[in-house]
Amino acid sequence: MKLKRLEISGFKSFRDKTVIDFSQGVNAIVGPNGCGKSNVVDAIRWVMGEQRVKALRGKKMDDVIFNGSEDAAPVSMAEVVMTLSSGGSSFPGVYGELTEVSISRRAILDDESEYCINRVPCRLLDIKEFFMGTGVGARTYSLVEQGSVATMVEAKPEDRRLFIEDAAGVSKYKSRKDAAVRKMEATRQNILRLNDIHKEVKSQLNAIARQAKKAEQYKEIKLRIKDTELILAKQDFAKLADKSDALQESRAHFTGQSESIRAQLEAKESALEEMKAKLMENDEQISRRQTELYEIKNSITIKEKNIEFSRRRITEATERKQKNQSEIDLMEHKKSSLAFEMDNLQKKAEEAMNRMTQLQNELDTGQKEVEGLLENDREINSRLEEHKIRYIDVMQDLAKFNNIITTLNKNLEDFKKREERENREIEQDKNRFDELTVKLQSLSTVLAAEEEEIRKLTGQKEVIADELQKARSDLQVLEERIMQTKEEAGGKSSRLQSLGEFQAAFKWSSDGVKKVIETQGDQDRFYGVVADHINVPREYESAVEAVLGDKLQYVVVKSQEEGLRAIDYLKNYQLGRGSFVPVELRGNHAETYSAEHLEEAEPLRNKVVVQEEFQQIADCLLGDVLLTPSITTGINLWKKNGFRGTLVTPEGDTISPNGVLTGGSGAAVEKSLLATKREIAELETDVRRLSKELDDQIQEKKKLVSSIASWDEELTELKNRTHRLDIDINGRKKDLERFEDESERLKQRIAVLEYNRQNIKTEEAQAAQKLLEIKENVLLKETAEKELNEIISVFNNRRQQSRSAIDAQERSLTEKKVLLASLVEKKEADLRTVVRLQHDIGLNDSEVSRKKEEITACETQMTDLASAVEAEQEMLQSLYGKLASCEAVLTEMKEKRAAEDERVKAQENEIRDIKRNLDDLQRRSESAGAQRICRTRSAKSVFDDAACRS
Amino acid sequence: MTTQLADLNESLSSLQRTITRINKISRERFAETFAAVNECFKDVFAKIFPGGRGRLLLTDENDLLETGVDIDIQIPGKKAQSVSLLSGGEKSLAAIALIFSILMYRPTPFLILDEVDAALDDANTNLFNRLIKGVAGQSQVIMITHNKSTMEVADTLFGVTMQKQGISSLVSVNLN
Repeated sequence: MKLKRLEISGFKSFRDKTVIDFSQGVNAIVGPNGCGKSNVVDAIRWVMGEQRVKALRGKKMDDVIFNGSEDAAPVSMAEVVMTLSSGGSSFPGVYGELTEVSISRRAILDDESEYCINRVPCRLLDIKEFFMGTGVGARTYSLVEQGSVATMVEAKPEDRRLFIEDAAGVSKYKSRKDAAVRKMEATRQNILRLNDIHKEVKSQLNAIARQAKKAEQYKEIKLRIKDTELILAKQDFAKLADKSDALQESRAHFTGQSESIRAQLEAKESALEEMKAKLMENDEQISRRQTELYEIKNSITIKEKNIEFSRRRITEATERKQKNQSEIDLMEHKKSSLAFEMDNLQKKAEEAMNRMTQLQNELDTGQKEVEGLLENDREINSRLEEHKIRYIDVMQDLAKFNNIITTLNKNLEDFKKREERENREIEQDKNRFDELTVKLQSLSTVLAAEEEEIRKLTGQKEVIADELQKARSDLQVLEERIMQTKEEAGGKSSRLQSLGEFQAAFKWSSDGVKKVIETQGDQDRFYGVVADHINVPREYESAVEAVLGDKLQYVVVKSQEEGLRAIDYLKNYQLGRGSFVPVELRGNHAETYSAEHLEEAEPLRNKVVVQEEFQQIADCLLGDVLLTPSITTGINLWKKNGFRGTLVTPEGDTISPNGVLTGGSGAAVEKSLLATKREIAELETDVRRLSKELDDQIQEKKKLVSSIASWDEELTELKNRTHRLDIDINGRKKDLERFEDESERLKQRIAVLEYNRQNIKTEEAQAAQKLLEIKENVLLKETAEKELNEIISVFNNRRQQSRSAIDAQERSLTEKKVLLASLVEKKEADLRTVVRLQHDIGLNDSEVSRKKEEITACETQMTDLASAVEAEQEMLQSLYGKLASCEAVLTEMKEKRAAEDERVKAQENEIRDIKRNLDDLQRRSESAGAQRICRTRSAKSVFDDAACRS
Repeated sequence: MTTQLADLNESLSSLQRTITRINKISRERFAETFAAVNECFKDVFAKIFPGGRGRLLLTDENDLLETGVDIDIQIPGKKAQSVSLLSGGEKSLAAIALIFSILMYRPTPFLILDEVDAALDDANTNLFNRLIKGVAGQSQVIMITHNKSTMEVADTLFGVTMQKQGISSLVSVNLN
């Protein structure tokens, strides 16, 4: 079984019908990726009944139908036809006889697949069975899908078993077994069903038994009816049987008749057979004769042909004889001419021989001459060569010397250039060196100046720093002082302020006085209180206060009227009480103390300073008060008569005129108006002084700060300058080092250059020396060259002469040689021709003898043939006679046979008539038989009817 | 009805007999085939992996009707291992050995191989080509390949092209 052809249409990517004719052996399907190679394999698998859609690389079975592409419309049907050829072995099963089987599968959109074997629709099972056991199939080891090679190995052992089963051909049995198992199952089901039915039937059996009894009764009655009907039928039957007998008789009669006719017929037929046999015998005889006749005719024609042939040969032989004769003549003639030619040639050869020996001798002498000349020429040549070699040597030397001269000249030039260059460099370097030394000097002076300056600057800087330090400490001290002064001034001024406020608000005076002063605050009429107008030194304050007491609060007014008005005002507004002192007080005071008193005391009035206008008031109030140093002295004074005033101590202890002593600790008045006033005055002066001091100090501070700032500035400037100078100095120092290095280097370099220059000079001198030597050499060599040149030219001339002589000699020699060679050639050619001619003559002779033999052979042949022809002709005559007799016999026989034929035909006609008769009879007898059978059957049916009914 | 029942029982027993007969034949044939294929497999495997050893085993030797078939492979220079641990090319070669050993025992009319040689190196491709040549005498071989040396083995080449988008067409070349 071979896969012969695969037709694919509409399957997957094969839209149009594609036919693949597979060949024997290995078929490879190739192509780029995605071109549809595997679809060929899919097609093969599909047609073999592949049901797994996944294995065909689709989702549903319809996916195998070409589904359209960009350029092509989809199709609605896929069909694959696989043609298998038996290829030696036969197909399995019912297809064993066929040589080709085609299997096809067709899928139509939204429809089932159709399978066909040899174009006959079949089931999928048939296709599977067809392939079963061959090892081929949609899922066997013979079909390896793309990428499934490895999975074959990885498959489960149970799946792998399938391959072996396929190979063993067990799969066929397996499917059969499955079928058997299915059938068994079905059978078991049937048995179960039967058992069920059995049970059912048993249960119904009783009912059926009752019905059976009734049926038996029915049967009895039925039997009786049948009997009666049977009797009736028997009667009918008897009647019919009679009729049948009659018919039988007539039939027997017919049969007899037919028998006799048949016998007659047989007799006739046997006679006919006999006749036919005779006829056959005759035919045989005729044919025998005929063949005899043919044989004779054949031999006649053979003989005739023989005679003809012999005759032709005779003529041929005579022709040949004549031809040979003429040829022999020709050859004889030729032979004589050839002999003549040969003689001529031999003579010529001898002549050529003579000539050749002569030429050879000449050639030998010429050769010797040439050799002598050549010897001479060789000698000349060798000497020429020698001279040439020497000349070449001289030339080489010369060239060498010239080269040396040019190189030396070049060297000299180079030396000069180098010297110049070095001189230039030395000069440059020296210049540079001078420059550097100048620079170095200037640098060192600048450096010294700068270092001096920097030293100066550092000194300055130190001084300034000291100053600054001092100023700063001064500033600190001053600031502390300012602080103190400020504190003091602040404390004093706040005290002054509070006291001033106190004073201004008349806090110390009674409500009435306060009101009066506030409301009637007219400076013209009211001059404040008494305390305002008296100034008491501090040490006497307590004494004055103790004396005056509340009187200090008396309001000083201009006049008594004013006082009156004020009292009225107080009265009107219920504001308390007040005392008012008019400026012009009645002065009734008299000095009650005497000088005696004044020994131990002094008037207080003197201690008090009062303004001019208020003198009277002071006098009034303090005119009779004496100040004693202590209370005891006061008491002593009081005790002295005459004094009617008041005594007071500086501590404030008083002795009234009446002798009342007042004293103790504390102030006499609660709020010391006088102290306050004095304090205010003191504070004011203090504050003024302090503020002045502060101003001074601030001024000083300002001055200090400004000077510090200026020093600072100066210091930073100095620092900057020193820094700048430092940088400058460093740069200069570096420059200095660099310049020093460079000058050192330059010095070395100058030394080196000087040395070089010295060297160059010596080399130059050497080169010049060498040049001179070489030039001398060159002159020598040039003279040698000239001499050699002359010699060579002489030799050349000689050589040319000898050459021309040799050439002439050789030319004549070659001419002679050519002549000799041509002669030799000619001689050899002549000899060859002679040999050839001899050979020709030999051939001619043999040919002539052969021809002669032939002529004799021809003659004998001719005589033989003539005798043979005669014999043949005699035989021919006898054969002609025989032929005539044979033909006569044959015609007779043929006539006889025709008569026999006639008779046979008549006999046959007779037989046919008889047969027709017999047939007639037979038909009649058969119709009688049929009638009888019909009767019998009707009788029987009647009978059966009856039986049935009963 | 009893006769019917008897008939059924008769047929049942005959079916049973048939099955036993089939089983017997199956068992015999399977055993025979397995032994032969196993021999072939050993040979082919040794040819493919020189110095290697491969054989087929039955998972259940007592039940020849249902037993599975295992492959035991020893690749030269490697430990004996499960087939699933082989490299891709080795798997391909092992599978090829199995296929060709079955083919040697029982040649199929034709053999279809779709890019079986894809994972093989040059040396193994030549080996594969020799196997193909050997098999081609008995079975017709239809194979898909990209490998030029495999194409050289082929007697006939079919070129599949896609000149129009999505439509395959065929060109055949007979090399003889």
